[in-house]
Amino acid sequence: MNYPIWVVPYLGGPWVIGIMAIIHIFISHFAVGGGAFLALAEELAYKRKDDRIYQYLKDHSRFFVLVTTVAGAATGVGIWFTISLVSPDGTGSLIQIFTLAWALEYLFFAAELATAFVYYYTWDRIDKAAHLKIARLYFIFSCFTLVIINGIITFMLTPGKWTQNHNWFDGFFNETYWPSLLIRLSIMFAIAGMYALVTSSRIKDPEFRTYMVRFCAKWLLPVFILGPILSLWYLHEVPQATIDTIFTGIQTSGVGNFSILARAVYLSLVLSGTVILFAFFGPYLNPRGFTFRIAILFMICGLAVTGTTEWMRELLRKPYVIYDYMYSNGIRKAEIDKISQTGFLQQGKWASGLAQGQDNPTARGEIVFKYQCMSCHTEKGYRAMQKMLGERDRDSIQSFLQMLKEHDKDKNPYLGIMPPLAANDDEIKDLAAYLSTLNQKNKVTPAANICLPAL
Amino acid sequence: MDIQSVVVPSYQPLPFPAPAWFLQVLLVLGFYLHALPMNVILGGGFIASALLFLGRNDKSSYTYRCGKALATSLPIFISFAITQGIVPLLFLQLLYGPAFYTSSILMGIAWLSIIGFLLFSYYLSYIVIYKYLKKEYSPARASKASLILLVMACGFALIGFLFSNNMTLMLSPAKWLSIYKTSPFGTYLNINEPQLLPRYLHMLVASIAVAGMTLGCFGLYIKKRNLEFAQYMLKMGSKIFLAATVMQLPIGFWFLKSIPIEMTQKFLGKDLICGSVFGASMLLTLVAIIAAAMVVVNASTTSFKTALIANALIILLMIINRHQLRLHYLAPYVKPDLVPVNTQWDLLIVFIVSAVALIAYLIYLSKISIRAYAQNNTQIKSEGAESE
Ligand code: HEC
Repeated sequence: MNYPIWVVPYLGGPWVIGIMAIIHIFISHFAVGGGAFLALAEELAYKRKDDRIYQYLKDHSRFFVLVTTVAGAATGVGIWFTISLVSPDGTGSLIQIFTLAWALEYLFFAAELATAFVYYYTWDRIDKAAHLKIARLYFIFSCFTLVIINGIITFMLTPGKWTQNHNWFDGFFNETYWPSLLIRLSIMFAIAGMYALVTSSRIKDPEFRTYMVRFCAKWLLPVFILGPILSLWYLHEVPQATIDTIFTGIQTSGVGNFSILARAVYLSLVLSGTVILFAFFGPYLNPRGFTFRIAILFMICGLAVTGTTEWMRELLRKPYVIYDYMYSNGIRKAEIDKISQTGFLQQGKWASGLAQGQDNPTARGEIVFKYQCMSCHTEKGYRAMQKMLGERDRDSIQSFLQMLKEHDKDKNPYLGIMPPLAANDDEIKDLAAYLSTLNQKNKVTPAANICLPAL
Repeated sequence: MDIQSVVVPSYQPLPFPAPAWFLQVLLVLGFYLHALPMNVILGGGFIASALLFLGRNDKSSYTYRCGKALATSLPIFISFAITQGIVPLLFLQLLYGPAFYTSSILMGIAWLSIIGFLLFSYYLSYIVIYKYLKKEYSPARASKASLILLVMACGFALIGFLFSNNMTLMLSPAKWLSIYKTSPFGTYLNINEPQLLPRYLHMLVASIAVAGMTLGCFGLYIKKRNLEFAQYMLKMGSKIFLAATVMQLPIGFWFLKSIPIEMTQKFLGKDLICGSVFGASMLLTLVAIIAAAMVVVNASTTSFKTALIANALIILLMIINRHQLRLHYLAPYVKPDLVPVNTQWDLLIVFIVSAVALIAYLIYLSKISIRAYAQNNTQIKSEGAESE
């Protein structure tokens, strides 16, 4: 309500973030996992004095080092751009709470990048022991970049004691920090392993290929062994209310509105199961029969798991951007009561700026809609309001909105997925007026449609 | 004008982690460290493309080899420009978020497209190297490399243009509300802004000058190995620098005229600090021009170093001026000095210690690479190696 709202028709702002985030996550996980992979494989090559592994590493380090690090950085900045367009208040808060942590992240990142370049450009120019040292440093720095960003990402779901004392340390090392860090690290190893499987499957020499495929398959082990334990630990630390939402979803699966989260959980479980079986029966037990095509399929599966898991994590946090502090629509929890009393269109710089001099109820309702609902719904596209409203007419929309205003879980079953509506009674009427225009556009004849705005 | 028509978002109800002046210093320094590599790639792309085109028929010509050296060095500068960009982006958001987020939203689509152009141009910079320059030479390949570099450079120039759009739009809160009422889809571009074009050209031409200096630095670097080529590079770089800097005089004048008269006067002396920074940069420009002209005549390294240092200082001073312009524009609307401060000493100390450690580490790394290349490069192996 503080900023103008960027309207993205049909797709909706959150999906713009989603698309950018998925690309970034794939690339950056490659980059971090790749750093580890290169270092450990070089360790192996050094110990066994195996020139074939050296050659393999040299062939692939350009992609791993240069493309992933820089593309990772560029898409990382891309996420920054998108979140600040879609939720400027949320982004602004994260920046302000952790400014110096971001700055520290930058230092680690600069170190990682410099090391990556030295690593790449000194192949065959310095002796093998010295190069191995650089590879190890590269591994360490690529993990370090994760150490920081993980604190900020987990903070959004579990801000811990920060909500009371606003101390960055409590927010950063929050309840889910450690399980999440370990999960991420093991996922990164797995992704690096999968990428390496793809490249290894193209090695010509059959004996060496078998050897490398086996070596790469081992990279998936941490995720298989530790994954379930770490996930349980993680879920144990997540707020109870969120867990309840998952279970409500599982009980009403497929029919209720809560089912998306449950569906995400299912999807993630099924896909990881597939990957586990795949990895065991494929490359590990039968490295000889592991072809390039299987490797690609394998990787697609792996990326799908990562994608859905990240998606699930995002859903867990709904309806908040920063749990218990700020809702997805940028309204802070602490402000809601005041807004409900004085009215939403009086609060917030841009919301009130747009509302001034605007007497048409539908137009006022549209402003409330943009600010309070559009961070999750679109008019006609993704999670369309038109569809969500179903058969409801203006009166039933109004009573729905009255319910959405309640803070009590028994009265407002939607609290776990939607923020409580922050508006006074007049604004609820206006919002209902606006929403009913969306609904009727569907059914009424074009002639009647034209009359509607005059309502 | 009705005061209600100027809508400026408020800051988050949270304290700053350090005093505003300190954050301002980090913003300016961070931008400086970003601007240096950024200028190299922006101008370097165009210059490399031109040199490769001019030297396309003879791979042993200095022109071709200069172009190749510049082109092969670009990816490193690109990644440093991106990494360094994080710092000013961070502090700009923190200090001027209310203005910067708003203007970004108003031009959201163009703003996001920057990421696409960046990946595209970055990718091209590698294509040129690995698909053309490192392959066996042929005049056709050289021409194609030149063309791709030109496309790449245009991509970067476009990114710069979009940045200039946002950096000027954020300075004009009075325009925002009516822009948003015309279109909430983020389709705006600030083309009607009088200072946009001169400001952008000022940056673009400066990048050509910086690329010239970069070429001269390559000359310094290979001087012991190949004196004649080194002198060619020093002269060529200084010529490019001179040409661009002479062009800056009318463009800079135009830029100065395009901003409101009360601001122009501040730079011309009405405000002591603005005026002295501006005056110092003018004096240094004179020094740089004379020194560069001497390099063109006698390829003297001392003169070149003088021009180089003067130029590095000019850029810093101009960036300070640019920041002052922003302060003047936003003074009535956005006041970072009024945000409460709660200094996070613990993190601040960790940050400063890490920053020092990083510098030490970078020195260590560059020693390793210099040694690695010194051993192998008793004769010039490849241009790509030199540009390291
Ligand atoms: C934090 C995100 C979020 C916000 C903000 C939000 N919603 Fe929702 N809403 C959801 C989700 C998630 C669902 C369930 C969607 C599904 O079943 O696919 C939903 C469902 C609905 C439904 C259908 C409910 C049913 O059971 O039939 C309506 C109606 C609705 N929202 C209206 C609104 C209105 C009006 C606003 C603004 C005042 C709003 N929402 C704001 C996330 C949100």
